[in-house]
Amino acid sequence: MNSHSVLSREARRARIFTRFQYLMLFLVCAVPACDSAQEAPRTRVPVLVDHQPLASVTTDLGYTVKLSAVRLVISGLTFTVAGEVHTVRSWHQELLDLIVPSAHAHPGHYQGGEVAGELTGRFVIAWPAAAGAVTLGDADIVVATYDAANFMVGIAEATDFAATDPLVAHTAELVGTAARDGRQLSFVVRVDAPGARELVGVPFEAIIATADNNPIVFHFRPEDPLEGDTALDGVDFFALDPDATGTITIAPDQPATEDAYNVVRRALLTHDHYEFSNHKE
Amino acid sequence: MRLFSKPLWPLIAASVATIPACDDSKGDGTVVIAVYGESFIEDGIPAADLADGWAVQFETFKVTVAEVTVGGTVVIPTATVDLVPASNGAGHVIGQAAVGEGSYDASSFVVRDLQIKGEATREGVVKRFDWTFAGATRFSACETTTQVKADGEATFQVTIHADHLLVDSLVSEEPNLIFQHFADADGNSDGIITQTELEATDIGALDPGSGGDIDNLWQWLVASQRTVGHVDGEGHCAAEALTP
Repeated sequence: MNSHSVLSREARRARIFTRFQYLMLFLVCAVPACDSAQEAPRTRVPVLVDHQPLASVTTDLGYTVKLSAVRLVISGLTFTVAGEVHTVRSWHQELLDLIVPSAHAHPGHYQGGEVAGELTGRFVIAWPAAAGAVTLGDADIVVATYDAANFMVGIAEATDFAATDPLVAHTAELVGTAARDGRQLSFVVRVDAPGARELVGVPFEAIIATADNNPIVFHFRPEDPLEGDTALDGVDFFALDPDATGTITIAPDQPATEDAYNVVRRALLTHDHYEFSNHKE
Repeated sequence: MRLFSKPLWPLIAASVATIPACDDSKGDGTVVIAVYGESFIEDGIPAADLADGWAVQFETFKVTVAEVTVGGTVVIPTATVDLVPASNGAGHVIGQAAVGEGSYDASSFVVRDLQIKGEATREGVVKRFDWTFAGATRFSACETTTQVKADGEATFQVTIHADHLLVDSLVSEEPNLIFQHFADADGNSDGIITQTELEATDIGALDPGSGGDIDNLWQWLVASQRTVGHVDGEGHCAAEALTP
């Protein structure tokens, strides 16, 4: 008489059940983890350009700067989440979570800084947008809590608008006035970005739901809301206009304005002066 | 019908957890840790590799490497080595440890207390530098696999890329190597580029990336030296500043 024969019916059932569980466990583990993950809930949200007038700011050198227009060439807009996004999960994913709690690379989980939304295409952004705001398109975006956005900065091409547009062959343009001590001048700044330059970490604190989302609005912030520095800090406008012509241009390859050009370019290529929001206006 | 009764979940999890993923009972091998500065540190960075014609020679390139971890084993707690003396392409061995047989990735190490002394030359002009970076940087999730066989010997090489100190962008995939901005920072033209002079010099056209927290050349150098750590030649690691 072997030991099997002494097992009660309940004990045998229990043992068979345990074997079944292990078989299921084996099958679950043998299934490629990535082939049956359910698609994360996604939605589409319009992306607009801010139409509010650009705020006047006071620079570190005491100039009151009023920007009338800012243009920027971008492409490949993406939105990122900081933590994990828990999407709809299958039962075998739940099981894997129990036995392999560190399976972070599993589909449906987006680790810190992971891209979870995008708006493809290339755009010449112009702030402030025309009345009613300009729609760039609909972002394809996962339902989640977001904290940042990224995009590539590019170079304007003649086909983007009239070939004589001064932004052609440049990345960004700022037009405005600077005033101090009762004197004022007009300025234009044109900036070129290095090739294949990505701008990362633009603030985008938003919760995207499955429906009824406010549009995502792209803002230019002449003053960094967090640190208080402005996009034109370090530029001594009057020193760049020794003959008091009342107009200056800061652009690449101009030795007389090289230092000013470098500081403005650096500011425009940081995430400090841009923001995306989806607050109700 | 519930196939799995709730009380059995812990049992299943515990059972799976105790099944050895691999047979670790095959014995230990030896992992030798070397630190290598490549030709750029041992022989210098020739003018041909810089976009502005300067050539850089190092007299001292002393680095403290700590917490070298392979396969979960801390192989070397701390070691300091000068990478300038020739090593015949092998790097400088700083220690070894027994590690269980296996295939290990995601290794890590810490680099701190970088001391760099040398000179740059161009057309008869000589600019000397003697810089110390006291901060620590952890390099982790390194892109290499260390194969350890029982009774065998494997090498894990911490490779230091000195050319990263001369890049013109902290974010470009293909930055240029330049030295002119450092030479221009020699404000009193005494031929010695000091930390004070670097702190007083704007980074100009250099591209620090999207963060906006680097304004002067000393900050730039501090950020640059946090990227010098690699493994087994060109293997990249995730870099994390442990000290400001």
